[in-house]
Amino acid sequence: MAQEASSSTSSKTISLKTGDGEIFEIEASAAKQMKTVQRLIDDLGDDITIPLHNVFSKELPKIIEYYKKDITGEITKDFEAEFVKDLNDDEVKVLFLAANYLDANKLFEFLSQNIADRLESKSVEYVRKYFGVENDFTPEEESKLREERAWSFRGIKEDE
Amino acid sequence: MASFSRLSSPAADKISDLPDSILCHILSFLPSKQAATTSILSKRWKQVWLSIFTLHFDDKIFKDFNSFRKFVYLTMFSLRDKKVSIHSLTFRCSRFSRFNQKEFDRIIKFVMQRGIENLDFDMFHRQRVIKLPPRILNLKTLQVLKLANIKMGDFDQVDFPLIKTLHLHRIYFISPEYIVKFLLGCPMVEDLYTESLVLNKSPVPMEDLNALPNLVKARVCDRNTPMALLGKAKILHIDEFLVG
Repeated sequence: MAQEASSSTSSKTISLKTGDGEIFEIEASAAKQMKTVQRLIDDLGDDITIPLHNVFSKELPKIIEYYKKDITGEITKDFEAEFVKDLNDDEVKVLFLAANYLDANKLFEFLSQNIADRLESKSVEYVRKYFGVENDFTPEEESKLREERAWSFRGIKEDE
Repeated sequence: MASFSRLSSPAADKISDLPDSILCHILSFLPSKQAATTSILSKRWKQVWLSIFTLHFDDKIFKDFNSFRKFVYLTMFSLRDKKVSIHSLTFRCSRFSRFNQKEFDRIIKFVMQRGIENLDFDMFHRQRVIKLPPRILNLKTLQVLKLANIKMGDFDQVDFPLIKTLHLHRIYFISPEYIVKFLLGCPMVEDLYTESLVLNKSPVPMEDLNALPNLVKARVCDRNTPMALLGKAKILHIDEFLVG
């Protein structure tokens, strides 16, 4: 039984429930772009509230915003620039993980590029912190590797 | 109970928990030079870098030719034992380039063993024109081939059954027959771009040439590309013939 959305087009909406218990509505056509959601719909039916254990109320609205634009074909470079402009590094990471979990390919690709942009020319320490990597090289091992790859490191900013 | 604080970037930890292929994906958007620096993040990340399957070498981002050459060799050397297939290789030389023919052949040999699908070579060189070894003309995995500033010597057969995109810029061919042989070796080509194809001998009109059957878009900035081959193009763009 098709629900009537409150917008002027009577398109089907899907209810999504975040890991922290909030419910959001999206158009069925947007849900199609998130393969994980679509799979759940295929399994559970589209009248049920779809549970998304690993996505939370902080990031889901942003993802919904992106796909709202996507289904109307309005995603432009300007929109994408605006979309990430005010996001701090953590917020981008959280969105990236969510896009991965939701198997939302377009957003995933866009955020991969954005993360790479944020890391471009940054120092190794910066990248380590960004990915939360623990350095398990001994100081000797690391300096040996740096020496072997010296030409890779020229031009890369050094942290103070 | 899903209350958790978002301090100290738990997202950062979770990103590192992702499989190598996803981390590779992020790194593949970085220039190879910087992606290489992630090899010292940790032992696990050393492996991640080596799994990247897009290589992008551009000498413009290196201080000098020697650094560039060293980097190219190190990358190839690091990958020598890995059965990693490389999806895409971009290799751009500019005014610094001092690659000799032997070095170039080594690079080509390297890519041929990797199941490459996208190849983009600009072998600009001030003193010489590098020759493309004919062995690559049967690389069945290629789908996109872009060549610039390269010489084609003598070759027998060109067999590129999967090439959909072909861009040739300042390529030296022995004679018009070789251009035809090359183009007809790409029967599935949809997107063709030719600019400044240079011949040793003057072009002669050729008879009985069949148009490339799958051509969608052709852009020709060159007087040596036989027009008969372009008959089926849906979009044909012919630019002013450039000299030299």
